[in-house]
Amino acid sequence: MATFIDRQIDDWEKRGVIDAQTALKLREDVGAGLSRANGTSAAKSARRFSFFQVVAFFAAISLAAAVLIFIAANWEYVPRLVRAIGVMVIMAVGYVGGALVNRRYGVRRGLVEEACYLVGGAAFVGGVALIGQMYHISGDAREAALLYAAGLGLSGFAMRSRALVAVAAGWMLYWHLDGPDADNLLSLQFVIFAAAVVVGIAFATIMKAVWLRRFLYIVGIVGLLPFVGQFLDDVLEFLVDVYESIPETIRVLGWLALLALMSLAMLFARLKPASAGGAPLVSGRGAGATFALGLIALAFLHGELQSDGGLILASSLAVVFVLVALFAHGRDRRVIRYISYVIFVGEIFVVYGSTVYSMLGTSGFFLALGLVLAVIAFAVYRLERLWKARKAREAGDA
Amino acid sequence: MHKKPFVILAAILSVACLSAVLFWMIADRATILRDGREVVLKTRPIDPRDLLRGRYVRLDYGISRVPPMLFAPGAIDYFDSGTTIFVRLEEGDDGFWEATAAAVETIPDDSPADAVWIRGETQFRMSSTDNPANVKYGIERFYAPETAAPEIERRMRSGDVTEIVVAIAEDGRAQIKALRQAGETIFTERLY
Repeated sequence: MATFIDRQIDDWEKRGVIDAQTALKLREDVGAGLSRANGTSAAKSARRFSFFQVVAFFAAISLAAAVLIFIAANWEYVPRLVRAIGVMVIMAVGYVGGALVNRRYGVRRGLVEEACYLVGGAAFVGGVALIGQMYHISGDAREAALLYAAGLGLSGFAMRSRALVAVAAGWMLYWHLDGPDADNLLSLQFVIFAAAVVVGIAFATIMKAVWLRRFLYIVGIVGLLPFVGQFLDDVLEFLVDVYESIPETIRVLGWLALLALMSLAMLFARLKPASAGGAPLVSGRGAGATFALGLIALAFLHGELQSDGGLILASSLAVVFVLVALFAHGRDRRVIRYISYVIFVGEIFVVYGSTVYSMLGTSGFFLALGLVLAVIAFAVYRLERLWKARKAREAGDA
Repeated sequence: MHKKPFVILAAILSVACLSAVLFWMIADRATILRDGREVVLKTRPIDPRDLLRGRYVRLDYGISRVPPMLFAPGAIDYFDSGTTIFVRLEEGDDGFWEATAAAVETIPDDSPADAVWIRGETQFRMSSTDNPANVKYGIERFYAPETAAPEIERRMRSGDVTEIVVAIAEDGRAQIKALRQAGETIFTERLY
């Protein structure tokens, strides 16, 4: 755009519409305006870095899945090679698009770049599934997982994409845990898994990607779990036995009571912060523990109430609890706020999944899911701005 | 260091490699369909549906259970799950192909050149000769277009016999070729 305006000014100067001095002034003004505009857009993008972007990714991925499944399900008269070429085009758009974003903006649009790579990677995974479907390959989910891990991991290394490497690590973990030798450290399977994780950690270290390195540590540790699992298994089994020996009504009532208690504690902390004094769970400082206990109660309630009506009840309670948490601590506790969002989206997903799914076809489901997530992303984005505005106003008042 | 060096080249190479994988999969399957030996198997449908891949019908074959006595050179009394086995198929009097011999890991050297061997994997660990081995051949799912799946499934359930035409490659890998019911073709695979 700058070049267009520059050329216009040159043209005006040449044709004598403006004199040389005015042309110079105009050029300077255009330059200053541009750098000003760049400054604000960079600041804006930094401000917008939030949960909103994450949910927007989910929406993007769901939409991509919807497109793929739509092609798979309805266009059976499209020749298979054409379908595969379609998948290839999505892959190319994702990968090359991400690379172009990197060329153009560098790290400033890192998230957009990673999102592009994820779309490309999703197209590859979808493509393999699509071919499996086209040729009725009942196949082996585990073998496919290794193919996904290799495809996404190697292309992730090539494009230095942390997101792709993280997803590949997830597939690798699935491949390992699902395998016959998951609890044998001397098996070829474990050696391959460990080597892949080590290569990933080396990549994360070179890229200085701290979160990816931590994620890979966790993947490695989880991969070791089957080995230590036998012991943990026994302990867990004992605990489950003890738990199951309690009558179901008492279990449900117990969790309901805990949930109610924690909600009240949070409301109390919000409304009467002074009188709470030092009581650990009721003070603002105990917010994390209160919230976590409430979540545990919710998780167990979900486990106990499996029927359709029960699910709706548990989900409703979860939404109410999350709203209480947002009301009480949403402003001051970023972690509580984000977890609340995630739970809200998760509950929507679960209820939606079990009720609406049966009414829509698979592709329709993903399409609708993408739209719903987009709406939620928008809502969360507005909410985040609201919090920020309130905080700023209060800072101004103080 | 804001920009990654060679990132566009890496992207193009990645797309090329991943696309090559997809096209190789298609070419491989098309080769089995085109060149594989054709056999007809008796089947029973089990139950449908797979979230990511649309609708499918799960199939169970007569050859899905291989009696231990068929194994050469002698009855096998132990398998790990996931053991590769080969099952020899021969056409019966009714036109359906049945298992007549089985071998672990490789096709026996003394097998006649025109014998048809299908490659499968054992499903469970097995440690006695009392029960047949459960074997999967990679042809246990039939994906149908979402709109046509219920109709095909209904027809499969109502008919007491459904025939699946399978193409088997030299190395024993199998690929569903067509769906028939009482000699009438319901669905045929195209190569591409």
